[in-house]
Amino acid sequence: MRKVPMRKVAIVGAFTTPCRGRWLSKTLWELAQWAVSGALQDAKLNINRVEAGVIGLYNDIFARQAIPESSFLGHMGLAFKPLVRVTNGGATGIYAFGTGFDMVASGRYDIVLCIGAEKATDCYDFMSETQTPEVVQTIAWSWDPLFERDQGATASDSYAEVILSYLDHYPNDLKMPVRGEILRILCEQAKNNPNAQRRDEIVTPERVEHSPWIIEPAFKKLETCVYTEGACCLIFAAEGVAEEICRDAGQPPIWIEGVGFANEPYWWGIKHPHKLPGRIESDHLAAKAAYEMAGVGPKDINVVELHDAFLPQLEITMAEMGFVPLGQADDLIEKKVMAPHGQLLVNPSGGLIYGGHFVGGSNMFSAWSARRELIRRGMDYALVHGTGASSAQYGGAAILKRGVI
Amino acid sequence: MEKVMRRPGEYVIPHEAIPEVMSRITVFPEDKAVCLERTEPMFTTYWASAGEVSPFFIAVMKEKKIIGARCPQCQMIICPPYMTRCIVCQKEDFSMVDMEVGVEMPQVGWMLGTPPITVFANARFARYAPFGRGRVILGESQSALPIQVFTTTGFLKPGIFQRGTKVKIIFRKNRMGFSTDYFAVPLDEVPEKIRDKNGVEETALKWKSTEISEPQVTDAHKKQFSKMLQAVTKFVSAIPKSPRAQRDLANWSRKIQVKTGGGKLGLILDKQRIKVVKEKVPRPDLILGIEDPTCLIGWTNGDSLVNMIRMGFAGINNLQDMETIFKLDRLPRSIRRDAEERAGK
Repeated sequence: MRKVPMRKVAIVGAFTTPCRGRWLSKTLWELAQWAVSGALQDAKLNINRVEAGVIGLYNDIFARQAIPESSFLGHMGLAFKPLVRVTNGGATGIYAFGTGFDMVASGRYDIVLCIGAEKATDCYDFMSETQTPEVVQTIAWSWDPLFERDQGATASDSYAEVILSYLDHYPNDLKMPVRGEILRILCEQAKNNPNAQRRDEIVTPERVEHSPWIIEPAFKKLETCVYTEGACCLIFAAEGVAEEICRDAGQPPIWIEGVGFANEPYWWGIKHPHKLPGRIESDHLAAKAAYEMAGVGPKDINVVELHDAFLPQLEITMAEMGFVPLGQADDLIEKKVMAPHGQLLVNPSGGLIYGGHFVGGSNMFSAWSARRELIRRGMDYALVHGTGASSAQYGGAAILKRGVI
Repeated sequence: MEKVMRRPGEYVIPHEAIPEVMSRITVFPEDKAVCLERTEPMFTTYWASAGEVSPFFIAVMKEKKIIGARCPQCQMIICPPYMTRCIVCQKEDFSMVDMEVGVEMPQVGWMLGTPPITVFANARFARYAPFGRGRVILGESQSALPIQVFTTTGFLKPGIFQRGTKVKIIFRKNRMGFSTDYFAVPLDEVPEKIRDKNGVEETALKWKSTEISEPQVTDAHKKQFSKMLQAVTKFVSAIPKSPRAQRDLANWSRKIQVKTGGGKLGLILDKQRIKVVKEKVPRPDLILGIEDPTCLIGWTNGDSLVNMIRMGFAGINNLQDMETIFKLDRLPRSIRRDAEERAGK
């Protein structure tokens, strides 16, 4: 049975800070407040009209504070109002998005702020005198402490396992020249995103080929997402209120037509109820649920903003979400599915690899970009995707539709 | 109470990972903002209980056994025994069916998938890279046991472990109740006479150490050497113009002896620069052996030294110092990006 929300919800304002590898001159609170301020300006909305908020904060270690959401409330202009913190691994952003949607769709609140923020690179490894190993270490604390963590698991190798097991099943897919071409496109697209972290980079398939392995033979350095500091804020409003805000702001409402979520089990195995090798079933189930709620399918989608933690995973996720068949994800390029060779615009923001990946808000950054593209290009439907946790366990998807004012 | 200590003086947080109490005033290059930075900790230490899975670790420690759990109703076996109730079966009162813990598992199994080999590890494990970690199915278990994978043949290369590779569980000599007390090696690397034996310890296997051989000197390589020396010298001279490259080398000093089939050179990393010296380096920290000098020309153009080591075109005498190789690998991209930015402006 098709599940429909109790009332329609639209994105009526959005703002994202520039993505940077490090914002030495900004704290986490400042980044989040900057995003809220920008979104209010975008929607031309008085803060007093906002009734509640939801904030995606990935983990306490990056924030250098336990229960970090406690000190955000005042900064967000939400004193004496409810603020919910969401943390769901890499999918924190999309789950916070879903929570904000539910808060409005259920009829509890008319206007809700949905914020995502991250500051990761204050972490510093004093042994290698660099930040990255400590950032990777912080993420590695998310592994099972009894059976896995001591074995040296990293954020990268959980996705590598997924990619390698996919290649076990489909050894002729995810070919390096195709991956190189997708990366070239993403890098090119990032130049059109004023907030992208890697706007100045030139990536060619040859450079990808020569870049060092991060996890062998799953992916290379140029195929991995970046660590980003930044924040994004979306403003959700209920039908009836959304149209009025959008008229005043002079921008069309972007209706959230469908949302879907699914989490796979932690432990891998040969059959359910375990996570199966070669699949990201969470992505498949989340997208399916979102399509069903929206009453659309992959063919209706014009823009995809996808959580590309690693390039081969982008291809697998596109297959799981029905844009190409499983085992033939290279059709994205070879069968000219993906723009500019084909019609489907994938990660016009540059994605998480070239645009930026501030974990708590990356998926909101994707929604910000999807909204921007729908309005700028006059397109109808976008899909926003998020994934996360070890082994890409968590999946979320949302279908956006451009409305009229 | 029985207490086991790995080595007196070995701490859960390595001494060298702990910074002193410091602060510094930094100018942020992108917007020239003046900022204060301080060293800060955020840590908790534990006597962490293994709770209901303690029997698994105690069986590993004391008996060199791997145990799983079985549902008496649906017969599902799980290894490791990560839960004590079956999530598929319920009793008449709707509570979950209790699993039988303590099912002894066979110690030969197969890899559920091709395990990843980690080259760029997190801070705690950088010194062990490259290493492998995968999942093994033992007996009738429906779940896979996460496990480190090793080869007795030296450098862990792709292809040694694949989906379906038969593996043997090997136990560490010193076991303390961690998931590193056991690991897997390919079954065909285990001497036939002990393949069916349970509780095999690491000392029962013959381990080949990773050695770097002296590069073979040839006339062809000698001809390439001077070209390479020129290219490397030119390349390192670009570092002072590249803020990114200087950041890559911050607080890092190494004396590297590079041995090629065309001759020797030294790379002295110090004060965010690299100095090229001809011939022998006294008391080098690291030796990098590369048969073909043109590989180093490739490095100056963006080819990865990590990849060369992985492919067997190069070797280092100390795998624990891969961090230095990572830093060298970052340089071509950093220099290129800064040069592209300068050209763009």
